[in-house]
Amino acid sequence: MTPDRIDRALREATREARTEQLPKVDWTAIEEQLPMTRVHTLPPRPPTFRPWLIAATFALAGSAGAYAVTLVHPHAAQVATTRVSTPTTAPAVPGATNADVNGDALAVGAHVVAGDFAQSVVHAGHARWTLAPHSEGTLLASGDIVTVRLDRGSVTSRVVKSSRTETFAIEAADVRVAAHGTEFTVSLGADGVSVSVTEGSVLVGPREEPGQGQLLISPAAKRYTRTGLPLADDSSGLEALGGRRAGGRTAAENAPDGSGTTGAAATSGRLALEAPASVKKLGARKNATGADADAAPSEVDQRPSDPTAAGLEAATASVLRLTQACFKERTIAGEGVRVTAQTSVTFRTLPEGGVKRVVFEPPLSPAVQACVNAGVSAIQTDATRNGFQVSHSLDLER
Amino acid sequence: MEARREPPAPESATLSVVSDGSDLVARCRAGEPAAFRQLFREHRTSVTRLIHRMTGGSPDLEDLVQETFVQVHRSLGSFRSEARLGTWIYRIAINVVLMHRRALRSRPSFAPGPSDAQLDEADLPDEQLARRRRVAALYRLLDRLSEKKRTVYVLHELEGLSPTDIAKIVGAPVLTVRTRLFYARRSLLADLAGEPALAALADALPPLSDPAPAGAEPHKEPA
Repeated sequence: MTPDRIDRALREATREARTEQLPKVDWTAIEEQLPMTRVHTLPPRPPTFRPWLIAATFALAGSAGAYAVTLVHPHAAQVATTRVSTPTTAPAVPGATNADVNGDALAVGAHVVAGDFAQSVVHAGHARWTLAPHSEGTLLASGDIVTVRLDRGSVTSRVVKSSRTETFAIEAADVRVAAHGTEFTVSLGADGVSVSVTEGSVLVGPREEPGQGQLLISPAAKRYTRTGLPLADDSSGLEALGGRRAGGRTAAENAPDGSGTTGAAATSGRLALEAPASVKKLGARKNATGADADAAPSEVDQRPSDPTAAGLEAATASVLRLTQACFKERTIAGEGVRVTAQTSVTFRTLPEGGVKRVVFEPPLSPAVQACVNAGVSAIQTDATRNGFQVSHSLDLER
Repeated sequence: MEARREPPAPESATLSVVSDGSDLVARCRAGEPAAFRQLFREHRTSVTRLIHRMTGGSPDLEDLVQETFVQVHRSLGSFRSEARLGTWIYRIAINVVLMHRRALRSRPSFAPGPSDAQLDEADLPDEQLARRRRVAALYRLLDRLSEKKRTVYVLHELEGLSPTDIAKIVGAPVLTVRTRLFYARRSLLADLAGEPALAALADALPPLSDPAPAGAEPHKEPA
């Protein structure tokens, strides 16, 4: 193959890529999530809200001075102080909400208190968090990662999908719940924190260690201690925290009781790390028929449906270490010659633990592949009901 | 001596046909709801194409497009009119792609099984299938380049932008852009034979012209 042919082949392939048709894109779905459109399609404000809000605004401005609320119109809400309160004397109306607060105009440290109505805070194009009636929250950070501390009660959050790993987080006691394109509810009780996910997934872990913890995939509900340790995953425990099966209702629809605990949208009680699509679909079907969540322990497979985060990381690290070792051992090169390779590895685990097969794309040399195949039998992973599949890119060097 | 190829015809270069966008940005800043929608509709195709080419056909394409326009919306306040709106949006799109790629590399991902494109392959005619495989092979080669080299190669060779425009997008001198382009092309040429689809293409190409035998009369074009 002459250099001229190679050069022309590159030009030809580049030309083909240039004239390649774009994949179909759902513009409407994207446009619906964009900030301008999103603000424009917010639900109308309940007609009973305005007099109370104006009264509360004037009352607060007159009595405290520093504590003032300026909410005139949901599209142009401006909050001038660090405390946002909503009226508490109005009769509670199920499902009623106050006008949205513009979260982008809130200063970090702003304390938001919901009265008898739920209170939503909107960060345009980013997230919307709704405090249940009589709940309180504090904006800890804004910008790329919005962080809210739940001080009392319950908060439901809806986060716009993003390619970044973490764009929104709720902190309750010492628990941090980080979201990525998700609708979820966090409730703070006297003896713990309950998290329920109605869409997408969240990472629940210690507040002091962002990025660590357990992944909870919808539909799921789980209780944690105030320090972030998972509690027994059963519905009675959820009810003990103040939760109740609510068929997917949001925190805004579930008023907290007097202790400040609240109902979580406990639809299945399934804790899950990311799993193959087939597994997730299976879980969803079981949930839809209501046959899974309350099944007696003796009648179901005792193995978890998905691995723990630590188990997943350990399995991945073992396969990567093995691959690197095989690459070093089986790659032939002259003295002082550095050989590198970039590839991605995909492996699948067996339900009883252990790795079933390892595939590299692009493939490694037969010698390296054989070495990896021989070595994977020694790797032990978490036993799970259906096994799981992992892909990871890696750089190899000899 | 290799003839220097002119940048590709602007079949995919849209920066020049999009308005400078200053009015549009002003309307977006003023909170006019239709303005951002117009901005999205004007630039969505070029942004999608760029992201598709930068990622080599990522399944996260729609998420990345959405993320780009969310970032555009958030950053409209910092847009300065000295840059063209399209150039500025390209810069944001590239940053979104780079962040996405870094995130992918730093954590395990879960394979959802064969992609739609792979499943569709069975229905394609042979030539179309071969062409798709060659394009996929090219994207694999691009994937092995460093971020900087891949970016300039995609912007120049696939998007048809001039080194001057690329320099504005990547924030580097024009000379640096040309250097990256040179090394990107050299890396691609060095690796091309390792991709069977592209190697087959190289083998199948007709010779440009047979070298004249020693002593033979050079071929003369008819007048």
